[in-house]
Amino acid sequence: MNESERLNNVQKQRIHVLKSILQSLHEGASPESIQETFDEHFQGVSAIEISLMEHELIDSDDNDITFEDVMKLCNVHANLFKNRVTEPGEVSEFEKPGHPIHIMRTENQAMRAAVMRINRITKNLGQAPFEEGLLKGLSNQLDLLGQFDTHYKRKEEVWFPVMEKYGHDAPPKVMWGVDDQIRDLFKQVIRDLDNIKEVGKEGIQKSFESFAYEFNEMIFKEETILIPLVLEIFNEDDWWKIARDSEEYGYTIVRPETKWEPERVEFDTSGKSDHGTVGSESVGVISQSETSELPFGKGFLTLNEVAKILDLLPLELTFINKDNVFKYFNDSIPNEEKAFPRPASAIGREVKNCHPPKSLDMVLRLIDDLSSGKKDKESMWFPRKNGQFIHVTYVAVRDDDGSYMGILEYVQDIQPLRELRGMKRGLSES
Amino acid sequence: MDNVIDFEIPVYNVLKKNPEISPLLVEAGFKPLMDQKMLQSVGRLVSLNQGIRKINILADDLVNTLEWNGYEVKGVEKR
Repeated sequence: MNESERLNNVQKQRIHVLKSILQSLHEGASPESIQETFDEHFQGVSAIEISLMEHELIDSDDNDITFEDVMKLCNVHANLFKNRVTEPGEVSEFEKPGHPIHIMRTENQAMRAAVMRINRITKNLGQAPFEEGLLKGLSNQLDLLGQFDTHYKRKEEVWFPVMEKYGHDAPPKVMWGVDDQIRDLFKQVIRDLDNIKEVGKEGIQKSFESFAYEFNEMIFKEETILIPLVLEIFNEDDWWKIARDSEEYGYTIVRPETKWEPERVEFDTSGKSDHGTVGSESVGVISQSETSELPFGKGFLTLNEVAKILDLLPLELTFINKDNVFKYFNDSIPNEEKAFPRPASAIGREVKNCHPPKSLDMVLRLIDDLSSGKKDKESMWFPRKNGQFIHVTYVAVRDDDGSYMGILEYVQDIQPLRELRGMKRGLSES
Repeated sequence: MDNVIDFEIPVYNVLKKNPEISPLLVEAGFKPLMDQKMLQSVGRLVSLNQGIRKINILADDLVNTLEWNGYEVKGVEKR
C-alpha cells in the first residue's frame, strides 16, 4: 500500500467513525458519552477537515444526520481543547457568559431561531390582502434578524485581525466575501418586504430562502471551522482584548448576561483592585524604603538598584512562581525587538492561559520537568525573519533547601555575538 | 433555543430563554414588569397567565401577537 492509499484509508476510517458518532447523537446519545471516541480519532485533525466531513454527511442521503446533530458535535469538538486546559468538571473560560465564544454561539442560536420564526410567518402569510398583524410581525422579526450585521462586523473587525496576526489570512478573506454576499441577499428580502403587495408571499419566501440558505451555512462555518480554529490559536490575552473591543460594536438579538474577565492573581498589596482573583499571594509586605540596603548574594543592593540593574541586563527576563503564575518581566529590550513581547496585563495570570493550546503540551511538560527536578534547565534557539538569532533558556529556581520556587526564562538575541570575529581590547570612540 | 413561549412558567424564565420578546410584552401592557428590578423579583414569581389576569388584558391579543411574530405558545389559560 503506498502513502496516498494509506492516507485515503485513514480518511475513510475517520469519516466512518464520525458518521457513527453523529448517528448516535442523532439517536439521543449524550455528548459526554461519545467524547472519548471523538478525542481518540480526531485529536490533531484540522477543523476544516472535520467540517468538510460533517458537511458531506449532512448532504448525503444514506443517513438521517441533521444540522442539529452536527451542532451538538461542535461542543464535543470544542471540548477536545477544553479538556487539555481545565480540570474535569471545571467550566472552561469560553463557556462562561460574556466570553466572545459564548457570545458568538448564543447569537448563532438566537439567529437560527429568528430564521425559523420568519419561515413560519411567511408560511402563514396566505394571499393578499395580508393580515396586518402578520406583516407587522414579519417586519419585527426581519428587523431583529437584521442585527446579524453587528455579529458579522464584530467577527470581521475584531476577530479577523487577530487571526491575521497569527498568519491565518485565508479563512477571514473567504468568510468576509461570503458575509458581504449574505448582506446583499438580506437587502433583497427587505426590498421584497417593502413591495410585498407586488411580490406576494411567493416572492418573499423565495428571496428569504436564498438568504436563509447562505446564512445558515455561515453559522455552520462559524461553529465548525472558525471557532475550533481560533480556540486553537488565540490565547487569553487575545480573548480579553476581543471581549473589550466587542463592546463598542454591540450585540445581536441577545445581550451578554455578564462581562467576562479572565482571572488574575493579585500581587499588588497596596490594594485598590477588587475584581476576581484566584486567591492572592501574601508577599510578606516589604516595608523597607527603596533606598535601604538589603543583603543580596555576596553584597548589598537597594530595591531601586535592583530594579535598575534588572532593566539593564541585555536579556528578556520572565519569572513564573511555583504556582505557575506569571509574576515578573523586566524591561530592558524595546518591545519591537523582543522575541516574546508581554503585555503588563498578563501579570498575575496562570501560565497555561498565556499560551495557545497548540503549544500548551510542550509548555506543561517543560514546567513539569523543571518543577519535579527531572531537569534543571532547558534551552532552545532559532533564527527570526528579522535577522535575530534568539536563544532561550528556562531554568528552575530553587530555594536553599532545594524546594521549587518557579521558573526564570531568559531570552537573548545572540546574532550580534555570533557575528563577532577577531578581538577588540580597547575603548570605542565616544 | 426554540420558539415556544410557555404561559405557565415565570416571566423571568420566559425572557431568559427568549429575551427578544420583551418589546412584544411591553406592547401588550407588561411594561412595568420589564424593568430589571421588577423582573428579578416579581418576574420570578408570576407567569404570563397570572400577569394577564392581573393587568386585565385579553390572553388572545398576546397570543396573536406572538403567533404573528412566528412564535408558538403553550399553556395558555382559557377563561
